[in-house]
Amino acid sequence: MSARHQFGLGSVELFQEFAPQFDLVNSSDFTFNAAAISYCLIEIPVADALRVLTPSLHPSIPGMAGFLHYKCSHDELGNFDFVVIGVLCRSGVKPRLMTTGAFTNNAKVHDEFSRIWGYPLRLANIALRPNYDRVRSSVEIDGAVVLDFEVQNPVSLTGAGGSVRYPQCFNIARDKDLMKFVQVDVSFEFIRVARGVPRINYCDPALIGNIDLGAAYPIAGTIVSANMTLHPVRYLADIVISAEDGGVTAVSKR
Amino acid sequence: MKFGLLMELSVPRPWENNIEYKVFQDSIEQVQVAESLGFDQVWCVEHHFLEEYSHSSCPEIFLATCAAKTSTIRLGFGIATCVPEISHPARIAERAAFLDVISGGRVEVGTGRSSTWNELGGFRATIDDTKKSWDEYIRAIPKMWMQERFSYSGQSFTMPERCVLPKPLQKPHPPLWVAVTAPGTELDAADRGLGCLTLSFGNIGNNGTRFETYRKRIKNCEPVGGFVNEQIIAANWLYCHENKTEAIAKGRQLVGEFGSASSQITEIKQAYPASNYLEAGLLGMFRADPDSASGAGKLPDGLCLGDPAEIIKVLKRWEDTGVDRLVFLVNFMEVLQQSEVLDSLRLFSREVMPYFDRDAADVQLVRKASA
Repeated sequence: MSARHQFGLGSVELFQEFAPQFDLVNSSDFTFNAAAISYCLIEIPVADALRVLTPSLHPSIPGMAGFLHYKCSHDELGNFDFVVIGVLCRSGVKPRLMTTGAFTNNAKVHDEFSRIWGYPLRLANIALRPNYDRVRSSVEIDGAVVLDFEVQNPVSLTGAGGSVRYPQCFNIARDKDLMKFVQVDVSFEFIRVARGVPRINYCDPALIGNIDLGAAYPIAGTIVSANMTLHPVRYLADIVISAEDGGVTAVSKR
Repeated sequence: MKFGLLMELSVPRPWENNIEYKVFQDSIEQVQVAESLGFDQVWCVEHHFLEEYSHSSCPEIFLATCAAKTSTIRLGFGIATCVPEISHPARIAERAAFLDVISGGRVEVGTGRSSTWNELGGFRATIDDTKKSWDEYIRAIPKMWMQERFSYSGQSFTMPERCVLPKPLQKPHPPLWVAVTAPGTELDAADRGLGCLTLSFGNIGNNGTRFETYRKRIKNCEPVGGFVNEQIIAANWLYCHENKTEAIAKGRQLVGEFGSASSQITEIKQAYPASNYLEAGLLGMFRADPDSASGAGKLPDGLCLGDPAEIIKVLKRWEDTGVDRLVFLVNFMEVLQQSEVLDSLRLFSREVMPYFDRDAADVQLVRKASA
């Protein structure tokens, strides 16, 4: 159907260093009440997106990169920060985010989220600093800042909860000996929504396939309070074979 | 019920071998043939930066070419995007009036505000204000046509007194429409005395209720122009073939390509949270649910894809909803050969059109004093 559409040209090797071993378990929903979520969405050149995305994925048009910071608490897992970045894309006709980097500051979350949802997590010092003029997220590894982004001038939106959309993540993980995308399904009940201007202060180029974000064009930043639920994995996708050509497999049919 | 064409000018990759030229020329030929077969109107969309889906950035040029090659078919301009970063209202008024003059008074003007980040983001539009600017535009444009000189001080634009030229040939001005996708826009259309141009492609049941509401509500409207344009258009697909199975198979391809091409577009709702874009626009509505079987899914109810007998049945149901006109997408992304498109139009004209009274849907121009 969309065989003529552009496909990614990237190699999974770029991101396999941190790809976790994915373990298909019958997990139940994980719900995090009143999670604080900061999200920056920016435009990048489509050519850069094509260079990073794997051959089973189409680029979003225009090209886009997303930066998400979740601050959550959970009875079992405790308090934690969780940061995900990646390049927006499509699998078939569905908008997705191909995860290129992920961090947490909680060892239990690191183990569980890697194993159950395939997030390529690394332990890091993470901070979310909510000020009136901006909400700033930073990630440090061994004392060095690898990621720093912010939503500037957030202004509350009334009744706009229904208008907030986050792309569902496609995480590169090892499924036995094969590299696969794990499709993460997350749902939200929005409590408060503010919109501002996104700004990426620093991003280690290696985190996002060496895309130069210097010329990135801002789309939107959001600061949200929401009840957030991570659902059990339903789909795995191939790195090379597109959804149109049967590259997406329902977990229930494996 | 009247029938017409809806031109998106979709151009599939790879963009080689002058394919844009072929798509444009084929579309112009389709309009010529359609006029000769009794189709009443052609609409040409305005879109910007929508790769493959629509390369129709200058509909007035397409329609001017059609005007030169036809004599009676009405020319639907737009949906003209009523957003200041894309078009000043005087430019919309000028282009539509110019086309009306050179075509001998055959123009209809559709209005809207876009629902894509590709377009609104590309022009750096103030997304929160598009509904407001649309409301200012649709009140200003008829005055630019009807008054000798026009001046305005508003929120989305301000201009000193100028004579906006030319004036349209149709008096007091061409019929005005608004594109209706999101629920509630039919009420906006009714309150302002505008025609309701429904872009839902099928779904007769839902649309019937909306049309009924529109008809009731428009009785008490305050028209923004020189008259009330109480008419309803529904957009639809058309592929008419003697072999129903063949028609439905091709129809599935057309609808599938539409969904596929539209998935390349970023809806405002996907990228930029805003309280005036709570609903998915037309393009978002066609995205498949990943939980349902993709290409083999059910087609929307009420599409004109089939043999003549099947299409007559579908059209009778549309007629019962009170729709005045149906405008058809007759090809998309070059799924059909030009000969297949023209054969479909001819078969429709020969076997289907006679079952519908096209004169009964003559323009109902209820003249009211302009504000």
